[in-house]
Amino acid sequence: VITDDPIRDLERQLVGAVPRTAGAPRQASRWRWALPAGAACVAVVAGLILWIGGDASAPSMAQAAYARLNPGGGIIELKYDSRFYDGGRLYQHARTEVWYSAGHEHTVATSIGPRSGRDRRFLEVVRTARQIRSYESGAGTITVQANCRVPHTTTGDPIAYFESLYRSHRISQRGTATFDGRRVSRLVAADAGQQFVFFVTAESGEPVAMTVRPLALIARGARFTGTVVRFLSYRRLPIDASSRAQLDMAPHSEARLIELGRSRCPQR
Amino acid sequence: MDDSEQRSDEELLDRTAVEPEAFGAFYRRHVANVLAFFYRRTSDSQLAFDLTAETFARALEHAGSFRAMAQPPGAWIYAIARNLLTDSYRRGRVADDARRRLALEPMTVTDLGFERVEAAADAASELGAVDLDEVLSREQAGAVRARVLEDRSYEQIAQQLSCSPQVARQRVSRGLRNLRRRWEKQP
Repeated sequence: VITDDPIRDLERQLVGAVPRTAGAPRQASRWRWALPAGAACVAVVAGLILWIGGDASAPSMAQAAYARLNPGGGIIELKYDSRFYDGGRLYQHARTEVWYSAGHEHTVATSIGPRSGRDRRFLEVVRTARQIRSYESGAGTITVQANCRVPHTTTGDPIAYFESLYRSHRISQRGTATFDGRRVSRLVAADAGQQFVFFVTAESGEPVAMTVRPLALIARGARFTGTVVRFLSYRRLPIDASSRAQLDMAPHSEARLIELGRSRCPQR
Repeated sequence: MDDSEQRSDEELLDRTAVEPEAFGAFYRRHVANVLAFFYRRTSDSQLAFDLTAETFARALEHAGSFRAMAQPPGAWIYAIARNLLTDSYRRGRVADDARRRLALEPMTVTDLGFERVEAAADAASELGAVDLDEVLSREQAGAVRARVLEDRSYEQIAQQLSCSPQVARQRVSRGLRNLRRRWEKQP
């Protein structure tokens, strides 16, 4: 039974099941239904085990995903691909590389022309807990700002968004799905009129993808409007000179500092 | 609205065998609080709904024998819920025995469906659906629930809890005082 209203459908099923309980001893009832159910039960139970089994560890799956994204005392390198759709039409495509520790972060975002497929770097941000720097990154710059990252900036910072929702206990697990051919767990939240779905590997909670869609535009058969973020690579780097260098405040060559401001960003 | 909404839980459970809709009314009366009970403990709407479904399936199985029990139906449904939750943690999965015995069909819930589940749980929580059984003694929880949530008279509560009206009044009073202290302690 596929249902949009499980509370009412459960009531209907329970009321419909009353004749199967009334006046009948439980043991007799069990055999009465076990026998005709027969082979069908095997399939149903197998489905239930898959369906329910994954959920029994639901709280820990969100924790595992959070632990994966939280650097603790280390450094995380994450690369992800963001695609922005309007009614099924791709209108922006960006690729981001980010290195971050608890107090430092270095992000390089690259815009990819939806038609040309050409890359162009458009934003480089380096921040510490006290400072944030944004650099103009060459010709064709889209936007450069010296703003602090806002936790609820969905498309710009999927990691911060997930962390924010997790800390406010708004993430819940809703079964599993197949995403790009991989079996994944779905961590879901509704926030500010948007549906947020975070897909993580069912085994370890490693990030696989994220979608953000306006709730008002989710309907059966409707073309996709929203953002799809695919996590291309995820690594917890060893702490050494090379990984620390990724967090240096030094910009890439040719970059021009356009603004230097004070950051109020919380630590991760 | 039919008259079943006006009847007591005991009457609804008692009539279930001959009048299936009575259990529907009992379910409607308690489902949001049970959902909220599970949602607070699991932070997972799917898991909360799954546990709720099994709780009510168990309640339905035992509705006919409810009269023999010595606790109010509100506490009874929470007792089932608590036992199921403990059992589920222990086994690492949610039992589905009662649903299987009743031949209830497995449900695949859409995102919209889960929005509804969460909304119902949230609404129940916002209305102050405190888990009385968790914060008060069994006697006080039963008395407060009957008085405040079910709007019963002290005479009815006394009959239900097998005590005098004065003792019922005392239990309600002490229970409310304990709740007030607890809330005052919270930041």
